[in-house]
Amino acid sequence: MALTRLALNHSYLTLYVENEQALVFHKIKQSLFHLPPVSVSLLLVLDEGKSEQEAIAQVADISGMASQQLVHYYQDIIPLFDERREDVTYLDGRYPELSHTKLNKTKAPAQSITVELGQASFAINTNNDSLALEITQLFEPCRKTLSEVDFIIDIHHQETAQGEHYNLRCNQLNIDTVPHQDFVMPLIIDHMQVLCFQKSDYLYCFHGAALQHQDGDLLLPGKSGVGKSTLAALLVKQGYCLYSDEMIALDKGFNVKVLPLPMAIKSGSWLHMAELFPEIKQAKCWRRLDGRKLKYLWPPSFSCDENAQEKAGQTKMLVSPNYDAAVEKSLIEPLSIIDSLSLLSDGGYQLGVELTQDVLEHLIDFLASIRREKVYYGNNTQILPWLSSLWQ
Amino acid sequence: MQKNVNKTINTVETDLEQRRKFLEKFGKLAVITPVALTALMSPSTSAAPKSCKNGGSNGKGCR
Repeated sequence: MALTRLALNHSYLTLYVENEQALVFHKIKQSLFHLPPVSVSLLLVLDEGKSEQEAIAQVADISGMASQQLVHYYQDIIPLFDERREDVTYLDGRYPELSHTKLNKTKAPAQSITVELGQASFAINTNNDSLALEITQLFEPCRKTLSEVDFIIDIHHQETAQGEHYNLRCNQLNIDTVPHQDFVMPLIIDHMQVLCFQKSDYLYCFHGAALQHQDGDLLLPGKSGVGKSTLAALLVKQGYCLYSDEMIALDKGFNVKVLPLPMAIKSGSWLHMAELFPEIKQAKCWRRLDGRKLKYLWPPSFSCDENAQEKAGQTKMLVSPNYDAAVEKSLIEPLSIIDSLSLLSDGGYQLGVELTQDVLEHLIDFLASIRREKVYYGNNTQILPWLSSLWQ
Repeated sequence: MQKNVNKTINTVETDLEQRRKFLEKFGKLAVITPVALTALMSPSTSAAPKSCKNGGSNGKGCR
């Protein structure tokens, strides 16, 4: 169902209603809020200029809720009437390497490993021979001889009496310092991935995987650990082309950006993945700082940006995967537009522009135009036939 | 960006009837679905998405 938009008397607030759900957009704060039902009623009464007591009494009468309960909702909603701007902007979230108005290419250091990832080029430089070998091997599919690059990543290994550490910098800006080589690769791949999409003309970026099927694009947004990367890896073996297994970056035409980096497969999926990707057995185990172990796999193919014109207008589908080994029979539920917005923002998101009402409604229109589903499944045989059927 | 022309959003310009309808409807839903007011998007929660253990603790991925 379409959203109903209601302009409020406070001209900086707009209410959007979808069946029994509601959002409010605050134009000055450039912020979007999901409202509980009672807050919608309170908002509408307060928007008419009623006092706290009058508003609570009126909503208590309609809802049957106690006034004391409503005081809590009233206190929650009052900040919506704050007309001050936020101290930060959406563009503040760009990495400092990109904060300058124009990014100039720099000469790649001799002996560095140079790679090209879409529109971004990198030189990776380290004084540690074994790490240099690992980087050379892993980045082999995207290595390219380049004399100048956008970003120079320096990984300086140092051994002291207290132990060893690796200091990571990008364009002379500190990324992190880690105590073991195993932590290095996830950090640099994550950093490169972000620089890749932030350097592009993206409008929205959401945490998740995106793949291209011959009949359209499949977006798999969600939080970490719901099974996105494993599902994406299985789908590339079925002929899908990968855009990214980590970030869904979309331009203003909702074309998906290709972030051609290897897929990060967490330890829980290694055994199962070995059937399809035997190379995973030999792949080096890396670690994230939070303790999770992962291995990197290259997909058989990435989607090509050159096909963007052909892909424009193709079907897009949003599927929220929820893997849980305890699920015996898969369950599929449609996602409302508001649920989809919650899902996209909860998983982690970044905007490449400020959030105006036009930008928000552009996203709402896009979500309204595509198929949206949430699927709970306990193994991949439950979900793969269903995913195939989506395109028929 | 061009002004939105898609028909998926119905504009109702401060329609008193619509307001009254929503006031009643959402007031009656209040007891059934008591969720909290949540900021979905704001300048302070927009950040490069990251993989993190248990999906992050701040409700906006891992930052």
